[in-house]
Amino acid sequence: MNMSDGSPVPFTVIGGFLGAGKTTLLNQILRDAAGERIVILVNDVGDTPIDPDLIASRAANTITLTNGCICCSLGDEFALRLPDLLAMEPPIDRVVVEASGIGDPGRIAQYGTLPGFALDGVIVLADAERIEALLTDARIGHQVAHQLQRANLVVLTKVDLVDAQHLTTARSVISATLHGTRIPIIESRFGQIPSSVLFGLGPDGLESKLYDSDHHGFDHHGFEVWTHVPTGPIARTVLDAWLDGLPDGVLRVKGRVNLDQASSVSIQKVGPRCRVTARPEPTDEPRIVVVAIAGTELSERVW
Amino acid sequence: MGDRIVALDGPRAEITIFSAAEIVTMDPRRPFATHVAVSEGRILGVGSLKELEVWGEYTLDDRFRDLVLVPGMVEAHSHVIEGAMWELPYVGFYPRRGPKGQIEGGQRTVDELVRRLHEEHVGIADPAQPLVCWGMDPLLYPGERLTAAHLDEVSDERQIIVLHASLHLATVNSATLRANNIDADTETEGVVRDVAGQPVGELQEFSAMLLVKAISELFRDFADPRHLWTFARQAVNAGITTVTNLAGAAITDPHSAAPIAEQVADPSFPVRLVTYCLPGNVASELVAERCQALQATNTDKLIYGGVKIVGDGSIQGYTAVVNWPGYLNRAPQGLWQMDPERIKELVGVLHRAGINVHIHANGDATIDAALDAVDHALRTYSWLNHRHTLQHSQMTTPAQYRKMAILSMCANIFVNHLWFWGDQHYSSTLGPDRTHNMETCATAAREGVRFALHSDAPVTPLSQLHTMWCAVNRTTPSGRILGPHETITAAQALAAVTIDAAYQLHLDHLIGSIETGKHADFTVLAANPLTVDPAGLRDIDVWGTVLAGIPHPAN
Repeated sequence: MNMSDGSPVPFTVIGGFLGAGKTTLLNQILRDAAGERIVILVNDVGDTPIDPDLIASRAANTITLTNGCICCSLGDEFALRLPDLLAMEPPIDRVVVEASGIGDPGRIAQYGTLPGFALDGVIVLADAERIEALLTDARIGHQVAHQLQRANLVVLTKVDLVDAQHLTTARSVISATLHGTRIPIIESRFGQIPSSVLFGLGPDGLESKLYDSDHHGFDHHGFEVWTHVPTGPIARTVLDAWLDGLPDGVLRVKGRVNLDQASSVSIQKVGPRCRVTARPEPTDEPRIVVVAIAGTELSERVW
Repeated sequence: MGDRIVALDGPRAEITIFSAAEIVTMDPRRPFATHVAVSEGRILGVGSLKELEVWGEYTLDDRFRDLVLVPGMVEAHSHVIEGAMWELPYVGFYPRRGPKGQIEGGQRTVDELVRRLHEEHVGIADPAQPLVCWGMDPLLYPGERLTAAHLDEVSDERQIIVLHASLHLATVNSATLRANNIDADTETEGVVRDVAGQPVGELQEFSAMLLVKAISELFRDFADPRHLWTFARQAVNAGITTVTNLAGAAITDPHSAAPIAEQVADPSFPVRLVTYCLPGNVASELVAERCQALQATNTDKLIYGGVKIVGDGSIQGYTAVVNWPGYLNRAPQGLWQMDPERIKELVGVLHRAGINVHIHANGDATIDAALDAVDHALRTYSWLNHRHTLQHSQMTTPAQYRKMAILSMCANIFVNHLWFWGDQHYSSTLGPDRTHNMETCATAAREGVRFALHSDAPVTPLSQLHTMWCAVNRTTPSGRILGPHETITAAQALAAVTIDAAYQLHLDHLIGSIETGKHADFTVLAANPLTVDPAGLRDIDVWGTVLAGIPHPAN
């Protein structure tokens, strides 16, 4: 549990083959932590280049950053030490785990379902330059494909380094691999992915920046963020139908809405993975926030 | 010059001469003897009493006069958690000998298993104390999957937890599910459910098993150095004087080394421990650097041999990476545990640093990748004495063995599979022809590859007499003989658990034969393994061991 408010700690897995850009992304996460105390579990801290300006102190398997974030080595038994993270002082806000190059990120994601954590998403990176060669490799192709299929969001990286033809090919081989899964593919340039896409909408702060209107999104580097504030209760069947009907360009949905006077649900959707959790009390601030690829047509609300 | 050499008159170390009914030396220059002289923990001489008396005053120790000495046996692929497991009752299909010498397990049906659990249950007074057992292998109970319903017959109050032999799965009772809030809403994938979505009690993979607090606490305790003593005790009981830990953590977690060193340095610690560390995802140059730092701390008893690379999974788990035509049930080709390109890069760096590498490779595709990695390393950098070793080597083909011979590689063959899973490989994983061609010791010998045999304890029981028996007889529980052309002689099998096992650990100049100058490490047996009926090899009574001249009786 996060001791500050008792809510589970969000748990994100970053997967992708060696060279897919995981380290670049992890550095971005550390730089942009924006007040969150993030613990990043990497394959080996000794092997993770971190901007020296960010480093406050360094121990054998742990680097503490000036912004309060912590970067430590996974080790072979990291899962056994996960409960220790929940006891840290000051409490942590988020855990990000780097999957190994050959590892199954979906398997690591299961640790995010342990008590005290909440699985926030499995993000798998694919290098636009190499993904075709990897997917067609006779030895490891099936395992690389499986990594992509275990994602909630696939991020095509290094798109700034390839020509249009290459990018089209990369997209089409990944689409073929993901066929039938409804897993969205997004593009990243220079290792940049907005944290609204990466983590859903952060605990505080970010939501207030949003365009608080039904029909206009807030454009954020090629993504749109929509906020809807329901005026009354929404029937569960209606809500489920709306979630099911969302187009594939929707990357994340996060929210809390009232079903009736006495109960509510929280909604957490990332790519095709959707979890609606019943809460035994109503909320004073019902709200649904949607992050989508710019230009995505949201389906009509029916409530 | 030309003066007489004058004997020095200083104090002399004591000499003990052991006599035995027979001493099998595994030194082809003198294969058999009746006496061995020991001084300062080392072998002073081997021969007849008359030949050894020339060294002067001695004590004759004839406690082994009716027994047979062979070189101290070497288990070149085992795991230190063998020790931790024996804190729990063992409930496996095949009986095993525990540290006190007791026989446990042998539960042949789910009913027998439930009865055994009930006996354990009534033996514990505190109802809040969970009962955790280990060793159940669901493959051996076809058509009878253990569930919470079975375990609820034992108790609906006490938490009952059965860890499977693979340690990747567990089956628990309803009380355990309740106590740990595992229900229809639990998201974790490895929680096996019925059609209504309710957990049935089986938890697959660590993520699901760690939902249970008692399992999580148990696993955290596995690394406690006290378990080394049980592991060593198990080795003594099996007549083993050198054990390995083939999954050392000291490279990924350098802090874990000191507590182990402290235990092994205890003069009463009765076994030599050779450790190969896992590289984790540590950068290759750093793996080499940390390995060399560990090797700088090597002693006579605690030896960091090199690095263990895990290439793939297991055949019975359908995760060994196999070449065409793949698994009998058309399962996917298997799962790499390390990307073949990374294997090549890591082997290259370690090879150049002069570090011995042992590569876990069960499937023939992984074996190809391992051989390519060593081939590449040798093209890049010449080191003839590397002795890089293929671990498990279960599906190695004759062509692969020929290539290994040219590359000067060794094999450590997981021959115990023939007995423990041979019938399952025959019917389910690889099918008859390729199961006959598993663990081909005779082919390795014919093609000129030095090989060892291993148990992979705790995967199968720690006993080099049993692995020898498997290699010599190649029998399965159903009575099949798998690959009758691949049987080897008892003498070949004994070499594989002594001198040739020492060779692949770079220790054959110190252990592995009874030869002047080597450590005085012996295995003491009730019968000569070279002359008993081969069918009875595994039943030879083990008196115990001698480590550096000190006798350690088995329990």
